[in-house]
Amino acid sequence: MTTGRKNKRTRGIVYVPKDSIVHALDPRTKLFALIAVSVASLLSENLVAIGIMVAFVCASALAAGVGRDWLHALRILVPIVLITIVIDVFFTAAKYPGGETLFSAEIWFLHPTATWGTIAFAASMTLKILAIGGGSFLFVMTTPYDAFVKSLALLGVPTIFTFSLGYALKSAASLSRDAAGIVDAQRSRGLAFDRDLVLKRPLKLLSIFVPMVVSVMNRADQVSDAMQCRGYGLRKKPTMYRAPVMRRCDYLALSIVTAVTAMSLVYTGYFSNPGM
Amino acid sequence: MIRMRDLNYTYPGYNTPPVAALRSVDLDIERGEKVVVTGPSGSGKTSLLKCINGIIPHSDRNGGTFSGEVTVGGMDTRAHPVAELSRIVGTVFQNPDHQIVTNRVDAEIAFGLENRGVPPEEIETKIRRVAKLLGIEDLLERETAELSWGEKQKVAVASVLVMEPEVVVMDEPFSGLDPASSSNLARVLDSLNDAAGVTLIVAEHRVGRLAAAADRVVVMKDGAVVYDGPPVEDLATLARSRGVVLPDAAPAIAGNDLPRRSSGAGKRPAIKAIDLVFAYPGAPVRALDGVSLKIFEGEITVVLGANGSGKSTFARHLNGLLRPDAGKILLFGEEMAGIPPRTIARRVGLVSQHADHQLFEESIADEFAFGPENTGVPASEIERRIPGVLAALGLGHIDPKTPPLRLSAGEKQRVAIGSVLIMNTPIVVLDEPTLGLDEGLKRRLAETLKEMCRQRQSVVVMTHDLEFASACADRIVSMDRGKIVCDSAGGGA
Repeated sequence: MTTGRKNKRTRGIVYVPKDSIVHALDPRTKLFALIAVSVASLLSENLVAIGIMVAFVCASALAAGVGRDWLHALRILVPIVLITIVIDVFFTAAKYPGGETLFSAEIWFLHPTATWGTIAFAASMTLKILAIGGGSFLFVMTTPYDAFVKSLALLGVPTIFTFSLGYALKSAASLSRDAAGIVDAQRSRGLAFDRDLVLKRPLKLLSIFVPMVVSVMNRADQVSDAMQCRGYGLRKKPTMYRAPVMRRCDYLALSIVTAVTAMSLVYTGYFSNPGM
Repeated sequence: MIRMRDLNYTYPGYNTPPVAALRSVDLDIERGEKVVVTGPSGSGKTSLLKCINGIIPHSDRNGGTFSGEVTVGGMDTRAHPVAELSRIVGTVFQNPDHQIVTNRVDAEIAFGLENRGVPPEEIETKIRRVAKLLGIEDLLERETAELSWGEKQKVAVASVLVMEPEVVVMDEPFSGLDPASSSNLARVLDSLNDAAGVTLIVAEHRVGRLAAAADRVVVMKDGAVVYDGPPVEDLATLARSRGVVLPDAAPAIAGNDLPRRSSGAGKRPAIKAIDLVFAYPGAPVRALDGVSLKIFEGEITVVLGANGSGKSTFARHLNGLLRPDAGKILLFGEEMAGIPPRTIARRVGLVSQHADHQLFEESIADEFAFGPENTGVPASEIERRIPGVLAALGLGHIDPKTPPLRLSAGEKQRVAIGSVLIMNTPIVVLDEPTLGLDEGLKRRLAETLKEMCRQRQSVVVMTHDLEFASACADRIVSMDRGKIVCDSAGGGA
């Protein structure tokens, strides 16, 4: 049974409309920033250098006014972060043996060993995940997908690709609504969504799967007809209504991103040992 | 403007001979004419429109056979692809959800113009003009996903009209609209036709006032044109004389006109909703705002309301799919929050709006058996019930082994309804059950619901179909903006 209260607490990684400077930036600027942060984070194993990137992403989230939603979205990364920490702390000592051994054991065929070096490596990997994952989430939360798609088109990406990407992103919400409608319809006919459904009555899952496929196929057919009826395909390069325009704030943002990334890379260059 | 000669379109049947969707149709439509095409479900209305905009034969996925000739503005539809024909023909589809391809209203209206290569500054002007014409200026900055069905329909119409086509074809544009929105749209179509001289071809089975304002009415039956001429005062009678059942003029159901065949006096409430409040996540307003209502045994309660008034949300509360943020529902005196979902399903059946959301089995018989099996009805009892439900819904002529997904839209809708009715629950809630049903089928459904009430079942129908409400309601409740604003029984909680 779906409860209204539970639904209200559930938020995914979706565009959050706000009137902020980050929202107002051209998607190309944000895309450049995301790529710069990701590359700088991947190239470095220095905690301070990656920390600069994480701090930059956090500051951007605050400036965007989506801090709480962004932190909520970051919870999705928790399982990945935990797995990364366990593996990196206990099973990378051969590669990062630095410092004294803090823990060592023999468990069946496993030899978990923790050193200051493995802890520093795990911390750097965690920060990388936060910088790249958090940056990507922030991009999605501050960029309407049609603006993103238009900016890709302006960067020379073919129309067929940009339109397909845009429609796929738009359809995610529609498909999710269809799926909820299908689940509700079958619940109304007494289908219980419990553990037994998967373990003892897996064929009953067809009652969700088949209508979902039918719904997707119907939608695809009808949308494709509707698009043709509105002239889709008449021109190789359609014109663009309200194309994104680079403004002064974009150039300023690009300068800041370049400076911060350069600072991080320079720091990495000077202190190439992890944990320094 | 449009010329059809010996137009035939046949698609393969399933375990049956090929179905003739169009049979020897000859039709000439002049520039600026306003033509209403009407007829029962499956009479060929949609196929006729698809032949005008070129979807048949170019995008035909039924594997059908097309013969004859169709020319639109001098272009032979066989020789010109759909996109090219779109320079002359604009199409408004039945389901706006399947027509909208972008996430913002202004971007959606711009889509067709961008495809044509219209310069951006000109697009801006055209968008403002069409938005003013349809009175949707306030929607331009909105996200398309946030719009109600009626608003989406208006955006879909705007996104076609903005391309300034010479011909506009519309497939049941009024089917999802409440009376007020229908009236607005009809006014816009009138002005468009009168002022801009656009040729309008509207397929609709709820003709009503539309036929009266048309230059010409085409009545179809089994793929053939059985009447083609000026609108007559009593179109329903004329059509009946040619074997076609059309709805009578829409009844006026409002205020003191509400049917009052029952006040609930002396009857036991099957469901008692008490001060229900519910808001969807992120929604600025409540979908239900203090709804209190008693549903009595052996009565058909019809809940009327405009698009977005809260009818569907209320329906989903009545069988526990949604739980209120505040307030409660008593099911035969027991608070619903404490009843397990499977037990609720045994007591309240809900027919959802879209048949495609529930049909999945390999045969109609299996589809009918799904619900009762889940609620523990023995196989022998299910077997016993199937013929009765098939007959009640006018599906007796179809082999129960037929896959439901191979049926027509109207037949699918009836199978979806039957798959819930067969559960024989004491309460049945139907959300817009008449979508896709023609007049004859609606009357049959109304009779079925009345018979269920005679067997002491309670029926709740959420609809904005006034003809259907008038045909079956014991009591009519009207909703607006999440509140009950009128109740013919005069009662609340």
